[in-house]
Amino acid sequence: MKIKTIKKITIWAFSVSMFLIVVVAVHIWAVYRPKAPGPDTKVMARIDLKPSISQVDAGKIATWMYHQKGVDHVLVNPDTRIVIFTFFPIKASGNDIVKSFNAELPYKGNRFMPTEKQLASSCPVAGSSFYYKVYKFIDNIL
Amino acid sequence: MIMKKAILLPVIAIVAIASLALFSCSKKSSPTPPVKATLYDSLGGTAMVSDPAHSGTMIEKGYLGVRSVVDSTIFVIAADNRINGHFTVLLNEVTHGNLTGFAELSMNLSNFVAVGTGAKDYKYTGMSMHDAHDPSINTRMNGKASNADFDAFEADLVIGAQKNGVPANLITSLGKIVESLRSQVVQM
Repeated sequence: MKIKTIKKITIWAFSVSMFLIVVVAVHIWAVYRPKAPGPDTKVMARIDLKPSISQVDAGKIATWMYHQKGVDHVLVNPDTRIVIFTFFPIKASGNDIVKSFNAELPYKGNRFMPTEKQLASSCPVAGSSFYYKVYKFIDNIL
Repeated sequence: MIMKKAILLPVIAIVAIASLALFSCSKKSSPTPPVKATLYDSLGGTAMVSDPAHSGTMIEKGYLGVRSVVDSTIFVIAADNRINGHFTVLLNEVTHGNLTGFAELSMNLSNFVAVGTGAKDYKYTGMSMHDAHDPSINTRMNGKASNADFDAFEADLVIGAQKNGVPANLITSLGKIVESLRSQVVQM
C-alpha cells in the first residue's frame, strides 16, 4: 500500500514537473522568437568607404542619406571613413540604401555585415541572459 | 456621572488634537536635511513627456535625456575603429523578440546609466560590470578591455553628450560616474 502511494506521488510529481518545463520552454520561445519589425523598429547599418573623404564630403554624404526614405539618423566619420545610419526596416532595406549610395554618389563603399563569430563575441551587455540562452537552445532543437 | 463624562470627553479630544497640532508644528520647524538632486534629476527627472521614438507613449524626461546621450554615443562608438570591434552586435538586424542589436544595446545601456545616475523607476538586469567584462565569465567578451579602450569609450561618451547639448558640469558629473567603473571594466 505504501509503495503504491509513493509510486503514485512520484508519477504525479514527474508529470507536473514535465508539464511545467514544457510551459516554461514554450513561453521563453514565444517571448524570444524573432518577430516581424514594427513601426518603431530601428536597425543600425554601417558603410565602409573606400576612398578618403573630407569633412565637406562627410556633410554631403549625411545630407544625401537623410533624404533617403526610411533613414532615421546618420553619422559620418571622415577620419575612419565610416558611415553609420539607422533606418526603419518596414520602410526601407539597408542593402537598397547602400546600392543607391554607390549608384548616386561619387563615393564608393560596402555595407559591413558582421559574421556570426563576430556577433557571438561582441558587446558584453547584450544577449547574455539565462532566458536567451535557453531560447537559443530550444531554437536549435526545433 | 453621565454629565461629567459628556464634558470630559470633548475636553480630552481638544487636548489631544492640540497636542498633535503642536507636535506636527514642532516637526515642521525643525530643519529637515535637503534632498540632494541626482544627476538624473538634473537631466529632467521623473517628469513625464511624450516619447519621440514611440508615438503615443510617455517617458520620464530624465530617461529620455539619458537615452538620447546613449544613442548618440552608440553612433560615435560604431564609427570609432578603436573600439567598434567590441560592438559589432549593434549591426545585428534581429537579436530576439522584435529588438535589433541597436535597440537592445540602447535599452541595456540606458537602463544602466539611468540607474547609475539616480533613476528609481528603471532597473538594470544585466551582469555586473566586472562579470560582463571578464572573458572567463562572459563569453561575449572577446578579450580583456584595456585602459586605452576605456579612454576611447569615455571620449566617445563626451562627444555623445555634447551632441545633445548636455551642459559641461553635467558631463563632468557623468564622467566621474563612468570613471568610477574603470577598475571593474579594465581587468588587465
